[in-house]
Amino acid sequence: MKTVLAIAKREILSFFVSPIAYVVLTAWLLWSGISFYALAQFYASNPSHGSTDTPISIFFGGTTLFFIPLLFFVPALTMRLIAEEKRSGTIEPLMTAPVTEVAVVFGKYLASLVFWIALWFPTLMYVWLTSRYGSVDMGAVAASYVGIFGIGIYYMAIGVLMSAVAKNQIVAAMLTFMMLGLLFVFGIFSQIMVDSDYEELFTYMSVWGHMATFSRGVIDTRPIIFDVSIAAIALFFAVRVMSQRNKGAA
Amino acid sequence: MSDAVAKKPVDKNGASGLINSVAIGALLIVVAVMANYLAFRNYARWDWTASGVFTLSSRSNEVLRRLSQNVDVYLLLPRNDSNFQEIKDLFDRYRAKSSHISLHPVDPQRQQAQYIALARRFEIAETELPSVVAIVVAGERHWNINAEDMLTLDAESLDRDDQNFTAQVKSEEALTGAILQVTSGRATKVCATRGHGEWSLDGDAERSLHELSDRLERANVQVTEIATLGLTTIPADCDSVFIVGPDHAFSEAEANVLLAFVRRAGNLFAALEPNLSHDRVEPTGLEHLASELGLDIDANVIMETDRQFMLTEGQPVAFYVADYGEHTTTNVLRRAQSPSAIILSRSIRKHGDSRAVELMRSSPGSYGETSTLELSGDVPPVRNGDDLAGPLSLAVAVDLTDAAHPNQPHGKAIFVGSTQWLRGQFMNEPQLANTDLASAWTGWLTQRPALIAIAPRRVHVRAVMMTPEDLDGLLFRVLVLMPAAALLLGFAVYWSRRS
Repeated sequence: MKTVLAIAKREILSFFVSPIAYVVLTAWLLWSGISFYALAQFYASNPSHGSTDTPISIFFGGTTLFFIPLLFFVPALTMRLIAEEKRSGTIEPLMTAPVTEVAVVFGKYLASLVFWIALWFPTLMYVWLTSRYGSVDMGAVAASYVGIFGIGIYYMAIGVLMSAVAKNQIVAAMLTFMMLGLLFVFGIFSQIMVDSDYEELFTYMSVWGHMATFSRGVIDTRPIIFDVSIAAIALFFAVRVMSQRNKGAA
Repeated sequence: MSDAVAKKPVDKNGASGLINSVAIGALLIVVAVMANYLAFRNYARWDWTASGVFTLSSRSNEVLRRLSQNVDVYLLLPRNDSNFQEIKDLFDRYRAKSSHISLHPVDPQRQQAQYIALARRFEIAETELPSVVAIVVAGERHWNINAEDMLTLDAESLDRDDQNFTAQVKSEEALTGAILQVTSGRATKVCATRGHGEWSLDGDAERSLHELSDRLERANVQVTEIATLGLTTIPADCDSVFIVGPDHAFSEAEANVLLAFVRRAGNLFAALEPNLSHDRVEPTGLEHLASELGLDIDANVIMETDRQFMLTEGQPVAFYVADYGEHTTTNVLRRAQSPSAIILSRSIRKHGDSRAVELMRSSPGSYGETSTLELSGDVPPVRNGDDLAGPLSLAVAVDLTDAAHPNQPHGKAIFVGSTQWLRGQFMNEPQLANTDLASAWTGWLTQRPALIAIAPRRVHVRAVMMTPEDLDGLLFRVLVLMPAAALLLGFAVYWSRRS
């Protein structure tokens, strides 16, 4: 556990002292700001629109403005985690140190979750701003953040896996984008499926369905189980990929 | 040669390691699929919203708890309908509570053949079909839920400037009602008396019972009118008799018929607001009946003197009540301290030795004004003479159970000193318990426990109000200040590392 924390700490520090962290954060805040402002403007001109929706509840997963940027920002956050170590050759000294592949993968994964939280932390400001112009349901906001954390759990795990599989950052980013894109498309399938069983299946697997529940203030065990199980599979394969690579290198 | 020999075991290890990885990976995927399947079938949900918007009402929970047969719900809404997600989410809540509920969405636009087949199967006329949004089916019985039963905004609340609009979660009420309709036996019949100026079932009448009857019909309680004048006995199919707001007295013969009805295990509900003449509160003609049941119908008007209980300042006859007695129908309200609005009420008290139970009481600052001259005078009435001191009982329940034979059918009665609390404006107000009281008392009188639980309520939609200036301020903060702060932080980190 100590080695996991040590690797995570090293990764977090190296990320936050690099300019890329702030470029990503600024770009993210610009995008989120546009999306939040557009929703606020819409609700300001249509105060009675919807039944229990507010700009905040819609901001958290109510539109594609929420999901599409994640396809770009998640690869940007995770692409360098392991792939960069391989490209720069620092993976060799790391793996010859007394640390296991599990510790490396989990350390990197823990760090990626911290990046994820750092990405969303400033959006608390939107909650505060909304509360100045109307009442905000803090329970629903808390549930939204639980949902976002759930998405982060498995999105980041996929990013770590792809970073372990790929030889360089660009390939890692593209693979992550493709995998997340596939999961995003499940959301579209759930909308176009006529058969209710398939529709339910795709809704279950899509992040759209997940956030539709959480952003309303409802905590549902189904998406949580899904998020955790995908993350577990991704991390398992990431460890095995690292392990196979080390055996190959040996 | 020696290299080749040395390499062989490494390859073997690599191959077995790969096989192990694939096998364990496959096992992990199988376990994950099984866990997800189980999670999908048996899930739990917690509503974190401040007002419990997505929590089923006690009544719906009670209905689902008692559900023992399978209920299929055909949801006939296009996926792109603005209410689809809301309604589907509601069904999810029902399914989370009972595995007997199955949902079958049928998109009228994309599954036309199935849609038309359903219409034929359930004999829905072509003209009615577009208005039907769900069909609830249990065995051979089915019930259609129409579009107007879905969630709607309360137009009146849009005029208020408190930034909270009211949305009526009628869909839950409609769905729970439909489940009751298809799973319970024959409709419970409530007979509302007429011939004494009582409130009518006509929705357009000034004194209308329509709001209550509409709600009860959703719960498979049928409300009809009967004229008691000349009757020698109450019709056998009347499970309960309601007397709501008579302004003429009942005759002695009618009162005797009603008393005999209660003694023969009938159920009686009487909402008797005081009728004021120039010098007295008119008798109801039911005083003797009430006395036989251990109650007194007082000839007074309750005046509230405590400002914090008044509905409107300077209107002592209109007040809130939050003091409920210990009774099946009021226990939940007592714990929740849900206020009810009462306008123009008399006191109804139980006799000292009576087994009756007081259901609600006015505040200690109230009193029962017996002089109508004082009420109609220019000077505000004050407590004097025969006026009763508060707190005063406003409603009383009587249960005529024979202690020796508790399982035998027995009569029940509820007497309330007011009628105006049944008005639509109070029944529809989510902050008030008026609708819960009406439903719970009806449920108690008609042996429908599900009605005693708290009914689906209306919720406040939290709106956000922004002026163009507010939007400009927001634009500056979220699109300039926040990204600039992140950029500045990055620059500061870069600068400190450089130096």
